Amino acid sequence: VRFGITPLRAAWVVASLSLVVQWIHAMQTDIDARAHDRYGRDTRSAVAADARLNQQIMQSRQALVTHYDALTHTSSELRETYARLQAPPTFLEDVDSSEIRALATESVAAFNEKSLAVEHFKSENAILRNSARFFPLAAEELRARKLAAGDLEGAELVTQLLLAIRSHIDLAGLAELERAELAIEALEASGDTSEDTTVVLLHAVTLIERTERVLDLTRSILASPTTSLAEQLDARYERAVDVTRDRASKRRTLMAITALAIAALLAADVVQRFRRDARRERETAEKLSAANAALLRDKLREKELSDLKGRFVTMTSHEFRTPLSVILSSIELLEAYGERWPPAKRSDHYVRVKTAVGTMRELLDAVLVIGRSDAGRLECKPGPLDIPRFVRESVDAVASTTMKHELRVKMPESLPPAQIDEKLAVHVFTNLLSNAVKYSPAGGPIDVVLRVAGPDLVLSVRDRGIGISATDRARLFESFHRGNNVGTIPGTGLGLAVVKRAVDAHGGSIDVTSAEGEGTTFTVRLPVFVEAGAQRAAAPERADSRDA
Amino acid sequence: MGSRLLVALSLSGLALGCVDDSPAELDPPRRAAEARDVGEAILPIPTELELDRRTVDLGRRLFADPILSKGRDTTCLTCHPFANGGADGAARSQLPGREMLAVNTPTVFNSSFNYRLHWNGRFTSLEDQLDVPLTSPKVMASTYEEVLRRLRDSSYAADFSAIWRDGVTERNFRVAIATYERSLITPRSRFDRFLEGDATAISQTEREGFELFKSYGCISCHQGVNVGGNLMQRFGVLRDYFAGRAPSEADLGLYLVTKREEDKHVFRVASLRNVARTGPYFHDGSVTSLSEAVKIMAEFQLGRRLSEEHTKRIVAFLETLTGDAEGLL
Repeated sequence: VRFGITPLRAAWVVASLSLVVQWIHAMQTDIDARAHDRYGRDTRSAVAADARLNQQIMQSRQALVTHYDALTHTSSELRETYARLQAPPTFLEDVDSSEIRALATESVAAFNEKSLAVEHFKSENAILRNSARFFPLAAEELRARKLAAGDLEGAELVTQLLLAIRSHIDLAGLAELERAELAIEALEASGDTSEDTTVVLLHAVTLIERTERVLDLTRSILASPTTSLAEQLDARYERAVDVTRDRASKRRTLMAITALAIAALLAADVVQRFRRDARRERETAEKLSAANAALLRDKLREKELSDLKGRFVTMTSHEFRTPLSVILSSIELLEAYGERWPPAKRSDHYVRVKTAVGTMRELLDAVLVIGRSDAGRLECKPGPLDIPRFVRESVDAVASTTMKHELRVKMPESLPPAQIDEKLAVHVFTNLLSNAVKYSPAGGPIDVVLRVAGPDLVLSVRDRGIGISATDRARLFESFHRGNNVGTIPGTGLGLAVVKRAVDAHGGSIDVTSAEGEGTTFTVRLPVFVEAGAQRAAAPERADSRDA
Repeated sequence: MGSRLLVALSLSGLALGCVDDSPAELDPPRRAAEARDVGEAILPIPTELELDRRTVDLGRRLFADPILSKGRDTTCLTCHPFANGGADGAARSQLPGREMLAVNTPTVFNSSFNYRLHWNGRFTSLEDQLDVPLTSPKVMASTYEEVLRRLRDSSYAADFSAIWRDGVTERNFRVAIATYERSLITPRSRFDRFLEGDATAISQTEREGFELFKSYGCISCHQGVNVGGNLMQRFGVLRDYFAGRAPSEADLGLYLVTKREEDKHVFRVASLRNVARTGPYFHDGSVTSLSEAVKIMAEFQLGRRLSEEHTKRIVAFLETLTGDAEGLL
């Protein structure tokens, strides 16, 4: 199958290409569910983990949780999450992507700062928790020892320190801080340099310092912008995804339309192809049937020709049989009785034989003329001819065969010199005249008129006979065709065929006017009054065939 | 034909849009199962791991293969022999023909429970930590390029390809070793069994030691599943440990990483898991006796001087933290 480029097919290819392009674009920019899940989960978990971290800081500060595993896990988780958040999914619009990336960068910077504070918080809080637990015990022990030793003043200083530190831990105000610092100074000033006093003072100082430090760190951790940044990032990402989703859905619609268009164009193409095929088939069929018809026509014609030939042979044979039978019977009779018959009777049979032979010769002549004409070999050799004498002789010959007809000849006084093929002229004159006699069995006048019309010699022969029907006139010049009104008038059906061929061979024409039962007039025009050269030019085809 | 091909292309294109073409997740989980909170500041080591067995097996073979070292003379086990608590027992490791390391080699056991790696907390993952042992001229003195080349030329190539589509890569190599290291945990210590509710798992003395451990405040830093390993702390919180000695570079701790004054002498709090078997102690391996180490910690971190009796009990408690490394041997 050969594919031509039709507009339909071109449209279809373009649509397909556009679908492929759309598809490739979609592959790059459609929401990758997996990447979206991952990133979306990360933005949400950043928010959640950040809140959890804050909560865990509070719990650690209040010693509600005494290990840092959970806090550490949360912190590691956040670090990993923020690292992943640096690379937003590739399907986002550029503008969204860069905004999200900027937010993620800001977030990770904020987180690093927060993370550092968390690390310090863990260290400081561990120390604070240790001192917070140990200081009261150590201070109580010191107070007890001082009381036991009778050092009431020293014991009171320790009590003051205990109270000051406790209120500082609880309230952490400036006044409490000042009071605690004063209590420490007072104990230091007491001059007690014993190990347990040193330890109590060490922890008191640690407590004051670390309480403040841990408080600062806690504040800085809780106030870290990570919380709002994480929420912003989450919201910004959701918005970006909505934009992408929107765009993707529009593109899907477009792709669906393109796909439908392709399907439609494809279908149309297929239909068109079918139609064209059907048309081609129909045309082929028509051509074939036309060829068949022509073939049939040729065959019919061939058959007609063959029939004609068959008929010709049959009729010819038949026409020959009759005179042959006459000849045979007369010769047999002459053979058997000739010597005994009187001369008159013998002569009668000789005449019969002669007549039959004459009929056969005529028949043969006619057949030869027709045969030659059919083969294109009927020659025309015009030569000078004495027309009046020729006409008279012809009329006389015919007139001698009948008693019932009156042959009237009318022709000009003088005729210009003519160039006529005498043999053809004999065929024309003899046949027309004998027909006029033969087909007016009731007798009557037969007018033979000759006149000159320009270069033509016009001969008309008119009888008052049976006439020729219109139907028969159409086939008048066909071999063996005879009028349906001929009745028992003998004839071969060749006479007019010979006339027609002879006239044609001479470059002339023949017309007939007739009314059934009233008579017939044949009019022949022969171009005989021209120079030999001009005559040849007037009938070039014939001249050519003659030369051939 | 051409036009028909186009249809096939565009239709298959539509179909392909729905195909999941991302590679299967082959990464092992990055952490051992989370420890269970039992109401104490110390958590028992989980007894189950969620790790990819093939990756662990590959890591195990790499861990013991000298192919990793430049001279093919050193394996990870050289400095982390299992029979010795997962460390070599030297104050500071020294490999033949190489310089001595600046710090004590920590145990590889339970290292995945440490939130950071190395004394100064330089690394946040076992994968990253590999840089030092592999490339340090004092240890394996190799390069990733060299190791990967050797691995690709060996039967390891097939093992890597069986696990990862991209076969031998630096990342996969790191993951293999780190995943194996995550499997090196020592669960079912007597103390963990005690935490899980088996009151008879530890003796009265050991229990008293645990109480002292808490009341003295050791637990402030040494808590969590690894009894430490989850925060940084200054060595010398209440008293200056480095006073009166010329500090070495390694003494600077976290400062080496951050260059912040406040981070001087700040180290990752050591895990006390298997502590009885992982001496000598401290970043410089300067103390061989556990009792001595406990006393130093009490004095400089807590501002307390421990009695011999209390020290003994605390050490007795610490000995109950020795876990079951049998599965690893």
